[in-house]
Amino acid sequence: MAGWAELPNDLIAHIANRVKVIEDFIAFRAVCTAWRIAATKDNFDVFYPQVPLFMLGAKDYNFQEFYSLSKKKVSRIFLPEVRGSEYLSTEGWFCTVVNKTGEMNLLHPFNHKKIQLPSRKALLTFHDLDAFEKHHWLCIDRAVLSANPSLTSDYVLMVHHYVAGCCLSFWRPGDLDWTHIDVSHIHSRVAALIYHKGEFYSTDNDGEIWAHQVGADQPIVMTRLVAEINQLNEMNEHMFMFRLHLVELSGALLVVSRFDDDSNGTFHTFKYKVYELDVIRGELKEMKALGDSSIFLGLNWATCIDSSKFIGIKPNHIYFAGDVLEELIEDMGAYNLEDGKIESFYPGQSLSLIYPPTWIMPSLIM
Amino acid sequence: MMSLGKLITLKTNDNEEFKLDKTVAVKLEIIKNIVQDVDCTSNVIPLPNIDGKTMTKVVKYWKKHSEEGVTEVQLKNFDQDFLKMSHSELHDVHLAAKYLDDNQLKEVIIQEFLDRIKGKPIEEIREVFGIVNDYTPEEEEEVRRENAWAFE
Repeated sequence: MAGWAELPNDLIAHIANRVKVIEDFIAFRAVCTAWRIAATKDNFDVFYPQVPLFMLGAKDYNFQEFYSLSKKKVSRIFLPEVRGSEYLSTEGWFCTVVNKTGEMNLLHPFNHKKIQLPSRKALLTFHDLDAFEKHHWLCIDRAVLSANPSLTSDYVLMVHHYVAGCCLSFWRPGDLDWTHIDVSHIHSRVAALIYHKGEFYSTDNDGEIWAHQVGADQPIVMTRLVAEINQLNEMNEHMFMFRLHLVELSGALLVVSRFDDDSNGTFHTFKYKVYELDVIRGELKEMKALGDSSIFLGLNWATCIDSSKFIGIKPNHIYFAGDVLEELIEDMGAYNLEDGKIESFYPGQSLSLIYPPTWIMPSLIM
Repeated sequence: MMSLGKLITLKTNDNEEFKLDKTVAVKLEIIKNIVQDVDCTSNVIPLPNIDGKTMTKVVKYWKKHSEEGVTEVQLKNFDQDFLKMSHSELHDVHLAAKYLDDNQLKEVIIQEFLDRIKGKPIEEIREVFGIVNDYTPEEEEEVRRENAWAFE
């Protein structure tokens, strides 16, 4: 039998072109030189939604641990940059804030590229400084990119931060400072932020959804109310605690509501509901099933994948982790939308006193 | 069953002949083109790039896929069985499908190659396909370092 390496390069390239799963593409390139040459970066669809890596709760080392759900294995990655920082995952990058200095960066965890941002201190000017004196604490809890900075220089980073009140600010490459968005009309703290079809959508936990469009012209930001979904609260008949997520699925915007409970002393998520949002009419329609799709929810970032293309991912499940910032609470699992059961997706514990676990989109380094 | 029609004959490079119902054969662009060119009286189409062993497989695939009333499930089961061949045979069929410009068959073969790679570690891919690792240790280290997270 002829060795497969002797296959013509155009066939190998043709096969490489069809490999969608990033881990398979990386393995493909490592097989031999002929395969590596055939599998060029152009052959890989960088926009294909990949299974996120599960980054375990932060360790106070120069290494951090990443769990692959497909391989069921942990990789230790040299990542000294996140030590002593908080980090929010977006588009395969981290928006990092150094705890002590307030220095902010965009950091690529796998190629270690860094893009410097204006500092946390610069964000303070948008707040009531008297309130800051009282609280002594500015929290940046959402940071969302409009596009992957590895692929384009035309992107916007939107951050949500609060002291007593909350603010949205954005930064674009070349900007010397943050630009503040007037969100005085937004009543409570932003719970979820996502970039969808040219606009940043934000929602609070009451279901008030806004869209913010950042443009080059004046006024720089156009903000409009998309929906006020009181029906969600009406459905929450048992008055459990409540948290909303936003996620994109095949071009549609979904609202995912989390029901959690701490009545017996331990906080835990026990149910999710998924709705499709009609962004024109501002209406929700419940989705009872996701088909082959599965959703991954974290504190800052949520994504949707086609589970049939991947090994080890169950269809119609919601994988959740790292959504609770309180220490020593480990609330994670895979929620089955069909029977409402939650099972574990990671065999160990991921508790961390430093920083909770997070999902990060893997990317190809070539 | 196939409907009755005019038969055409395909002749491989090792002189094996395949008689095909014309309604099956003309579905393929290349056969259609050759049929138009070929002398109508002989109805024999030479296939200088394909051997009999490979053509047997291709014809088997064509016949099944043009059967009247065949169900999706039957085709799926047939494809599964059909694809149980060695990599080099698969390659031969792909070359034949390419020469015959049969996009559906080409697609099925590529998908089978993909399924044979899917989720496998590098060592296993090499073993399964009989590929000799021609990287120097330095090059291999470099390839692994690029995407270190995928290699633990």
